[in-house]
Amino acid sequence: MSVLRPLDKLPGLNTATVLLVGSEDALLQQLADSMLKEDCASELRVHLAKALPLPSNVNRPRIDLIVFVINLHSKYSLQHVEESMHHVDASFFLGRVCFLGTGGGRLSNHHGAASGAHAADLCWPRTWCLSPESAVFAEDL
Amino acid sequence: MTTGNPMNMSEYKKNLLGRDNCSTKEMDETVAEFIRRTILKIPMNEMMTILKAWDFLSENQLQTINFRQRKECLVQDLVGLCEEKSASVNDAALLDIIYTQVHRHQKVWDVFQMNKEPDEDVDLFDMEQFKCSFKKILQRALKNVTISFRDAEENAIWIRIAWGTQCTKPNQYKPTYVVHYPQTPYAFTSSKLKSIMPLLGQALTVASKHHQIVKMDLRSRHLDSLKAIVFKQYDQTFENHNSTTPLQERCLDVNMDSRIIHENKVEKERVQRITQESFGDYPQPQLEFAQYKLETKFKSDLNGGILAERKEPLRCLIKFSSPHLLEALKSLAPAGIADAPLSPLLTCIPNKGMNYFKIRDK
Repeated sequence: MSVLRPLDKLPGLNTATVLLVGSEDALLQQLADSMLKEDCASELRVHLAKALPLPSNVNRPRIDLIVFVINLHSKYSLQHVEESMHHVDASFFLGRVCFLGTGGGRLSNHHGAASGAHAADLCWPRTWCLSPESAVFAEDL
Repeated sequence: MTTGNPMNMSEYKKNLLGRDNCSTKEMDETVAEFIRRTILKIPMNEMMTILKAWDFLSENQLQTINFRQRKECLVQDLVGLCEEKSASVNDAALLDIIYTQVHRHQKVWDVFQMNKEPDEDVDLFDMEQFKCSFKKILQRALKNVTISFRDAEENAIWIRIAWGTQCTKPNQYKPTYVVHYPQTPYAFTSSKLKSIMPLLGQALTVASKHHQIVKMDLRSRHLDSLKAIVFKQYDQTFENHNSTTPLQERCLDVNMDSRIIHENKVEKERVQRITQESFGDYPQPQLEFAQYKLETKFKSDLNGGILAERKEPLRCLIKFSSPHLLEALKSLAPAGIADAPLSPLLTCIPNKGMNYFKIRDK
């Protein structure tokens, strides 16, 4: 089972690689575009993936940060993230993983069992709800 | 002499003719009101076009009207002109058809399919004979009914029917519209009155020399989309540059930034390909909803239980709504909201010509 480990490769010189994981491609694309617009101390590259594990036949740089993107309106997207987390080594979670919930501004409560309940239950250490124009975590890298 | 209000006009005419009673040539008040209400519905920017299409008021008459005044006054003036020409209920009905033809999306259209006996000859369609026969059947059944015809694009015939009974005059405000394409077995109807359907069906069938009429499980406000679906014309790509580039190329064009890497490119391309296979490259016909009625007996691995003993099936209704349902469904898998391929119950809609489904146990 291929698992992402934080320190299994040498870091690239002056580069930072962020992996966005989420089922909705358009959202990831939007986030990636916003991130690349910001100034970054290093050369930033953004990888987009629907789920983990990543295809193994590809040569890719070391991943410095994983962002799991969950659409608060979609149980499907939460499910994808939950399944993907199995493929991430525990040590990654020490400062190199964050969870991003989107769609929070439009949560309505008249559509039955919404996944909003799940979002509120999230007790993971780094759960942030950010607006679409989120700041880049370049400082963390 | 300026056009006064309709009441003055009729008084003037009465004096002129020297009669106490209304002459048969005068316009009925109910017709005047009907025309007034119909013209009021017309948006100002369409007024000239529709009045010209109606061709009841002459060019000279229309030139005497000030089209820049307030709508209520304009309408009064126009009704006055109609008075001068003694518009009949049939003239008014024709105006109503024209309005509806322009605003066809304001009605919800059902689709009916007729069929002939297998060994019947294919007769040449005779428009006059159809109209005559249709009228006769309805007038024989109901003494009071207003029937109007208007030809339209692509050989279609539009029929407007205002229904009355043996003792009451037809209600002009709740008409039924039928659009029929001769030489085809299809008719589209808009009607809120369920009770007239058998009679209407009979009139259509007999007049068009068919044997039987069946209501299809297809309904929408978009008459042109319904037409495209039943005549299987929806899969023709239009002559614009967007449709000539395949779906993949268009999507990848957007992502020009080389600093963004798609890890699941293979999967993405698979989804695009499957979507293209299911929905094609062309714009989808426009429907507003799809409805699935499910009836099933309760099934369980566990023995017994209250639900397992239940004789009546369980019922469930699922309705999908959207301003443009098929385009929305087409975008589900590429957007990552659903897996590809989508359920055939969703992708079969234009192909089967249905958006109402009943799913039962086999």
